[in-house]
Amino acid sequence: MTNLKKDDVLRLAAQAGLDVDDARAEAIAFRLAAVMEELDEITAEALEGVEPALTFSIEEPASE
Amino acid sequence: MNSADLHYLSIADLGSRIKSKEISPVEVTQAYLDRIEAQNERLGAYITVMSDAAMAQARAAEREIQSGQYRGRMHGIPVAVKDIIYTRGVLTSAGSRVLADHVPDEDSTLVERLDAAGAVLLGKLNLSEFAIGGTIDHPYGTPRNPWNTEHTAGGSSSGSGVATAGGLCAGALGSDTGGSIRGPAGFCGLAGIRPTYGRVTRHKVVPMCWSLDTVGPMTRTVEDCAIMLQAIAGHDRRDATSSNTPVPDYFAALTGDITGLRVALPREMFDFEALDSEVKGAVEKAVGVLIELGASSDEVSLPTSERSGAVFIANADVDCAAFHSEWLRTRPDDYDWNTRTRLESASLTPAVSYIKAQRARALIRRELMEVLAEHDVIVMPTGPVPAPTIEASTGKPGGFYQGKLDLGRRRYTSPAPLAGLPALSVNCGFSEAGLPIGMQIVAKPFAEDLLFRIGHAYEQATEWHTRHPDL
Repeated sequence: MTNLKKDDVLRLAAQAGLDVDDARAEAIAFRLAAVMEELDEITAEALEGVEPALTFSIEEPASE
Repeated sequence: MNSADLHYLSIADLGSRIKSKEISPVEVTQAYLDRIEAQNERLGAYITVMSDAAMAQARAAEREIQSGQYRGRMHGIPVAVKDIIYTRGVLTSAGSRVLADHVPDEDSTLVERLDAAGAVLLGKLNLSEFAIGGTIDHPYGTPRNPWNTEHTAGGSSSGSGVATAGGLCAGALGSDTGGSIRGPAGFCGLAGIRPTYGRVTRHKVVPMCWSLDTVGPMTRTVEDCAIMLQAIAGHDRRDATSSNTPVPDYFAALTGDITGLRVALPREMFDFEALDSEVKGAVEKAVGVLIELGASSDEVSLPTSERSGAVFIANADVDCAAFHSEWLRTRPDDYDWNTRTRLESASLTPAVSYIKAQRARALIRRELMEVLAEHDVIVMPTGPVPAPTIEASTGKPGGFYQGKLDLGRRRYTSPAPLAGLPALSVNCGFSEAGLPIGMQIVAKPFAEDLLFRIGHAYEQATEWHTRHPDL
């Protein structure tokens, strides 16, 4: 996704039901590429054995 | 006391004078309302000013105090809240045209707790649209940094920062998902705390990211921060993610003693090429003060923190896009350009990238917790630069909130949220241009009392927190 171009964004956005014009498609491509490039720097080796973070911890509710 | 002198008094000082009946909550509230009327159009802090309701609350507080019913340190104190916090019968706009007609029929638990503490609610504060950050076009006025009105106050709790620093309230509530309390606190010379995830209820608070959102106080001193957090912290059965962990006495933690404190200094935060030299110098000096007070420091490494900006965006923005999914398709033109671009970008993020970001989030937490197993706190700058100009900080490509600098900036404010940890920003100096510089302190879960002890000790040894903008 680091090679994402404006036309790719326009196509994906249309499929997702989003109304995206050329200017915004360029900005989206720029933004997504920057984020994906950074994520790619985190190697599979670094993430070995690491499971996705839980949204919240499980605690017993306080009795009222 | 001259009403013109009231607006920069601390909550602690005001509270003491109100308790002793030296001043009345009515007098204080009127002083703030007068100042809001004089300054708000220029500063863009408030979206809604609740003058009549505030004066009614002030009179009720006065009656109670006169009759000996003193509720505590927040009694009669005029405060304000970010406009994502529900207030019954009062517009809660989230800083967006999308919610221009949104008038809730119930209060957030936060407002209920402030009311129970006897605080006076002055109004609803401006913010980056939907607390997302980087708004170009603020529909309710542009928030301006009181230290230099050509400069941004940061975001997304911009109005909270402006109002508190500018003396338009005694303290404010903001929210912090990826830096939205700490950023404006740093830019506006305030104390601002992002509490542990789950420490403070999120009931009836418009969400940005369900798994990262927190609400916390922004004040002119650390002591005030402790007082305000005390009033709102604690379990709320209406928020399934709020914690049962008991709330300690934060005020009692303000001993001033940090002897033996072990401070970790991550090299990724101090060796960053885009870190401003004045910011680096100020924070290093601040660490020096902590050492003079009895702390010790070590250099450590948080290797994945360099990528934490991208990890944050891939987590938070995607969650946010899910919340906005329907509006984004039915009324996209009601969004600010940058807000909409961020949400649309997030909507196109591959699911496997989102899951990778969730795993990276767990890795970042592991790295921070390993460091905190050997140290009491992690210290770093709140951000890499002092507040930029409003023009430079717009969200168009190349501006402050876009591109590599955006992701680089986020390495300072992303790790604590991703790890669910509390973090306090304290003013530690000013740039040559007169803009505040923030020092950030990160602690273990539910160690807000330790953060306050350290921040308060630092403030007692310095005088940055006594300075106020000349408006």
